[in-house]
Amino acid sequence: METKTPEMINLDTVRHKLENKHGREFWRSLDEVAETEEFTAWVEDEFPNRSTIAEIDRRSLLKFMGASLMFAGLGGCRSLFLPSEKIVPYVKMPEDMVPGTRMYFATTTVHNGQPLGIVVSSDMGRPVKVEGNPLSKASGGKTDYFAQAAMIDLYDPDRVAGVTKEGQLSTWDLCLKAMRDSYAETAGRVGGVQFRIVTPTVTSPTLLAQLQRALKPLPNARIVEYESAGRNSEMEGCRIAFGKPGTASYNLSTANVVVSFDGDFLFSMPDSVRMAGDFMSRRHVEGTNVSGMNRLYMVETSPTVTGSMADHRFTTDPATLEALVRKVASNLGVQVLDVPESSTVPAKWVDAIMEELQSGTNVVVVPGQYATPAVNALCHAINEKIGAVSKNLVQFHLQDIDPFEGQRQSLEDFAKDLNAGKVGLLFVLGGNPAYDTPLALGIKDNLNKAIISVHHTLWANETSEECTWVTGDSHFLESWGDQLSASGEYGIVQPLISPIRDTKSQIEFLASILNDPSSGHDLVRATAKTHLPDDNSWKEWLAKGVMQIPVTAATPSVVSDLNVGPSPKASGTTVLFRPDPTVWDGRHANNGWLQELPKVLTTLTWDNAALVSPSMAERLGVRQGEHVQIESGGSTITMPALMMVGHPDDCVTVHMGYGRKVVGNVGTNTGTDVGPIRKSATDFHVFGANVTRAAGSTRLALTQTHNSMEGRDLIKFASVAEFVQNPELKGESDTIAEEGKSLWPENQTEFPSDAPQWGLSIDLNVCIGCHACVTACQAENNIPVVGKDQVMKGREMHWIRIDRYYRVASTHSDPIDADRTNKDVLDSNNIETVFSPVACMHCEKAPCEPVCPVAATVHNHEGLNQMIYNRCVGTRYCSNNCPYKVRRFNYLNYTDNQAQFMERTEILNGVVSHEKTNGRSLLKMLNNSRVTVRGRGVMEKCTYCVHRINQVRIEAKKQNREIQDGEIITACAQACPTGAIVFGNIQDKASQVGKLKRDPRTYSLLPELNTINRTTYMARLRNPNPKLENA
Amino acid sequence: MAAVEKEEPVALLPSSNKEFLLGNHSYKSIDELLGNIVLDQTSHGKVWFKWLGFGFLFVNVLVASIAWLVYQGIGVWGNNQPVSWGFDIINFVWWIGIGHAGTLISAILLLLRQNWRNSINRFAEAMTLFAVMCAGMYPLLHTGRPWVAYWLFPYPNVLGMWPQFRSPLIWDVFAVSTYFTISIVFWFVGLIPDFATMRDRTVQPAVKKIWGLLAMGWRGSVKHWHRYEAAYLILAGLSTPLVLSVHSIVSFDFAVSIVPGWNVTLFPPYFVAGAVFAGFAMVITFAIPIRKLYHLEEVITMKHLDWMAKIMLATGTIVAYGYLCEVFYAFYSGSRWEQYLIHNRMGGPYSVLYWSLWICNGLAPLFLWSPKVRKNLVALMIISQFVSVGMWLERFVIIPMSLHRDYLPSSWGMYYPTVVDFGMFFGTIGFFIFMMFLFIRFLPMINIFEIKDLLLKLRHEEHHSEADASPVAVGGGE
Repeated sequence: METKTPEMINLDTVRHKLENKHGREFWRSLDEVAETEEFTAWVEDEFPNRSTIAEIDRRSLLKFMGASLMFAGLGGCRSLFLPSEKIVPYVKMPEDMVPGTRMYFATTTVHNGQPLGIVVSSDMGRPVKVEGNPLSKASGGKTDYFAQAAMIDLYDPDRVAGVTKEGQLSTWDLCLKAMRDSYAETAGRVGGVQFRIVTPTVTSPTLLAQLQRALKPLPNARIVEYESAGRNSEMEGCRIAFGKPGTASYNLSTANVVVSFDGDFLFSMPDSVRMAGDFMSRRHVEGTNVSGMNRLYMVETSPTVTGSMADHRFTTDPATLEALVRKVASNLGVQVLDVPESSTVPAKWVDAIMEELQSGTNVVVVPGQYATPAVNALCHAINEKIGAVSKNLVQFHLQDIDPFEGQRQSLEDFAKDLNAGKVGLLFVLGGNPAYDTPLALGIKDNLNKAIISVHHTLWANETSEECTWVTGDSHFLESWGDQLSASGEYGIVQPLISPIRDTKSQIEFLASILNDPSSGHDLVRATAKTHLPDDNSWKEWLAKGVMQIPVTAATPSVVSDLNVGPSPKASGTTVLFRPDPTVWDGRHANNGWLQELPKVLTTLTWDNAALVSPSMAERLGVRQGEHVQIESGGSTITMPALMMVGHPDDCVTVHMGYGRKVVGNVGTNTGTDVGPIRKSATDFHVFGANVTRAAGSTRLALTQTHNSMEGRDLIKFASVAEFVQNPELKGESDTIAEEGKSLWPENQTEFPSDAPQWGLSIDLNVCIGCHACVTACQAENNIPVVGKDQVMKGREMHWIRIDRYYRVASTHSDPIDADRTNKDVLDSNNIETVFSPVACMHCEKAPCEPVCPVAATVHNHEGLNQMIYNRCVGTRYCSNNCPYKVRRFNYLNYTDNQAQFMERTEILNGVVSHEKTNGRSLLKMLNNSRVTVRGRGVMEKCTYCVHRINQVRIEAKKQNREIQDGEIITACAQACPTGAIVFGNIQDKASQVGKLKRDPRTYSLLPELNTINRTTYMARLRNPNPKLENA
Repeated sequence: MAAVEKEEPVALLPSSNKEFLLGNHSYKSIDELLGNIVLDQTSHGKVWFKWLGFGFLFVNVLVASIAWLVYQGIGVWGNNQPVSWGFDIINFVWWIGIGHAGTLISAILLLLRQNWRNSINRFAEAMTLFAVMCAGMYPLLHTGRPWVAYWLFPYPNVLGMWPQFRSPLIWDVFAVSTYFTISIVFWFVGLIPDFATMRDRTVQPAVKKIWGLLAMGWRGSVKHWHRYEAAYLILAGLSTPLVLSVHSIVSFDFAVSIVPGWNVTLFPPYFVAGAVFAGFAMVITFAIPIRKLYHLEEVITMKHLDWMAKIMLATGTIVAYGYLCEVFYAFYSGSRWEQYLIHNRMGGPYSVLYWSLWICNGLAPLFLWSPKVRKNLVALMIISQFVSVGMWLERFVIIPMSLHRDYLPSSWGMYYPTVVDFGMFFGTIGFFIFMMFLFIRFLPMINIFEIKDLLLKLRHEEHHSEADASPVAVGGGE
């Protein structure tokens, strides 16, 4: 190959030419001025400096050809190294679909008997993320973590994939035929073989109608509605108070004082998403105007989230709690037959509560879901007395007619029938009675006595093992359905994807058995016909997701002969049964996101433990994780102990839902089943237990092992009075920071003023630590589940975590340490729990940046501290240098090695030729396509949802406008039920976040480090009753 | 050059070289004593094989550990959040420190005309090389994606990316790679005259060829010696700042950060002293058994050991002073983070290691004040072991113990190393032993020509009165 010698430039010519130039003319090179032949050719050539085929000699040409052929051939070898995957492109694009843009569908999810309207985004046909439906009252656009985590259930490879009969693969046709025949046969007989349906609480009108249809023709047929953590106390409380079962809902946005008796209305009670938002709407303190702030009294047994947000908290055993309620009720003139004169009921509390209740202000009393029916009934009576009912602070939704009138059966009777062999045909629609019913009833052992039984379920569980047929239920994102809440919110359940596995929804399944050929869509449509007569209103419902159905507004009055029975007598140790905060009654045991989510108050993951107070632990002689044996009613369980500051003494809280034996990959070998000591399915505590130390210990995977702030002013906290006096709330850190110890010239912002500057504000006054943001972030940002072992090593991957500290209320600045402080302080009711969500602070002077050797973490002009995954080599220096420890490192290949991915197809002769990890490809559908999936050896952290920012920016640019305030919502902020998290442009003083940044309560974490954080916090305030405070 | 050297103050020379070469030696006997270790391959007994085998065993452990690490990821180690650096960086700093004695001996002591270095410099330099090899593995393998670790080097690339020069890790890359390059060149240049000696004394033609190649045509002419001396001095001059800079820069990894317990201005001198301290401990650890094994008591004399012990004592007290300063600073600074750090070191979950550090590095070297201890081989050996362990503990105290409890108590955690961590640590020790024993057998471990030069000086001393004793250029074999 020959190269041309460049033409010599004649400098004289150049000079001459330049002399003749005038004005602002530019030249690219001396060649241009000289107008050399070469330069002209170069300019004219579209692709200068290219090689042309003419320049290549014969040998090189042959070499290239050979190489090209070889590389072309290599493509065919793909299946040698990589699995070959087939893709099918759209031949006809579905209507409305634009590749790369999301579609959103309104649907409804249910948790704890409470429907929640949600909007689910679909990414090219894959549902990927749940958000709240702003039109739904229950949601208000917000979600809890159960709703967020529903997404991973959809793609769970462990779900039942079709139909099995006695463990052998079968088909729907065979199963349905058997069901129809059996049902017809049962219907034909009278008195002999009986028909039973066991189901969790029915909230779907379509399903309800179907069940009624199935039951009606059979006088001997019965239905058992059962949940181990159900709303029984509430229903029973209403029955005592009003003569009819029902539930209550509370309107907390207008309540000035809330007195809660074990009612965890901010977190675990039904409708808590709405109630948390309503309650906290009164705590968004602006400036120093604290006048609107409500006050919360909490009397509770097992510590709750609501208790940790209370202005006054009193933790005690259930007997004392009920005594206190009885005392207050009888003081108010409610007829209470048995008012125990208990010495443990603090008089000052009774006085303080009485004073508030009689003050005439808007006061409401909230009883707990797990308090006794008596407490519920008395609270209804109290609410009536103090006028909370007439002020519409509380509404009752009573069941005037039982939809299963005469055909409802209690669990106990069902167990008897089962044992007696009276049950011929048994439908178990979801649920897991073999696991979560009291063992003494023997349901697990007798399920196989039913002649023919079917378990229609999402996952194979303990019950499936005992049933003849196991049929796959469709996930709610795969099926048509509807949900009706007690307050009359009627939500649509619409599918975003056709069933991934060979499954049928409950209503389709029942319709098939009832010889109804309608599809799920038609069934729902038919049910909704009364409310939605025409197509337009149906379509509107599909778009909006919810509609309000008028409910009878009659205000019931408490019966005159209120009888709440004798008051309970505490003896021995009290065991408090609660559904697990994350896996609930066991139904979420195979959900990796929920298993790994730190439980709000304990930060425990992947396990349950016996929660005891530190002084009780000392008495028992157990340390964290050492086993205790709990004996109650002749049965014992052994489980690890976990010390919990603020737990009532001589009580032990155990969480249900763990220790599942038949469960998928994720839930295997997690926790302890507390079922053996729970004798009644409706009681949430039992007295007279005996707790002793047992041999052995379990390592508990806690994400936060240190509970004290060690005297560091990390979370600002003040009573209202203190705040009004001194709104600055200056701490030691501020003083150091103000002294300006940096040698670097300050106040030199490096950020351009014409670009938006992103910032986040977290109001700790309204943050309840509910962890919805954690799961929302996990879903949004493809954060992997690492497993118990890795959590124990401190390698959990959550980008946002909720720090939780304890402190002593009376001595404010003095924090306490569960490891070494005196136990009396720890056990007193003086404990305050404070939460602080911590994610990347996006420091303007980020310590992580200068130490990265490859510039993999850098700032952008909008103030984002960015992590460039591709560039990261994984030295982890940035994490060491991060004072907030918010960076997360992929120590192993977490993304691909999650337990959920590991379901393997076994080799079946003639069917499956080689082992495949089906789960892997299934769970990959879960990923948010807008966020990079990180491989191993790479650092990651909160990005402020930069993909959401960019999405909005693109839209704004297309429309040639500025980004509006509130247009960008980070995943955490979108989920937050109380609106504690606000994101926006801090440079825009009019923006919501811009205003919050100027609020006197706003402060930075560790200001003395001069990192200048973009994420700031707002101090938490307490609104105590001065009388209780001084006492 | 000779003229310049004559102006050097005589006081810098040791009063007498007598104690550094014992016995009645001739040039030939020295050649035989030292050269025959290599030339007479039958002189290595079972002991050599045992040690080599021991080393090789752990080389395999090392290979297995590295393979598992690269296959699985950093997760096979005990590192976590908040303790992102554990054994990886502890061992890196430990090994780099061990290498320091070699450079100090060969460069600084050469410039200072400390003739006593002649009998120990060769194997101290070899130790430097092998220690830096061990050290170098860690920064490479501790990255999450070692296959792209080359991004830390500034090289022209299509990404248009340079490394981030503000990061101390980049300074490390330069410091350590420079250090290794200079050390290996220095070592090789120093070996050339001895290669020639070996060539001349070997009888097997094939082996002679190899020695010949390595000797690079050395004939011992005046010109050769002249150039050799110039080159050697220049390299010594280049190495001298490295003795100070390498460990200063390694200490910047910590000093530049904002982690309490790391951002200490004292670190550079304290790290350098610690490095020399650890290095001499390792030289003594090797010198004592080897002089016994190969009957080198006349070349590596008690005086050598005595002087090395004195350096250990001096640097050890500097290091202990550093520990005291850290405690003092914490209380004098008024910084609650620093105060908590000291509190945590003294009474926290790892306090046993902190107090062990004081015993190993604060207390054990103090026995060296006694001349009796310095002349007792067993005691010296034991103290050297204490120092090696102590210097390792020092890095443990600095790295995981500072990280595990820093600013936000919510993120506090514990660090527990795993089997693979220990596998890599013992593996590198095995690699070091393996390489040292190969070196002992196949290369002249003691500088033959410099011992001969020492002999020359001794003869001068004998023949001349002290008044007209003229210093002779080191190694100036004219």
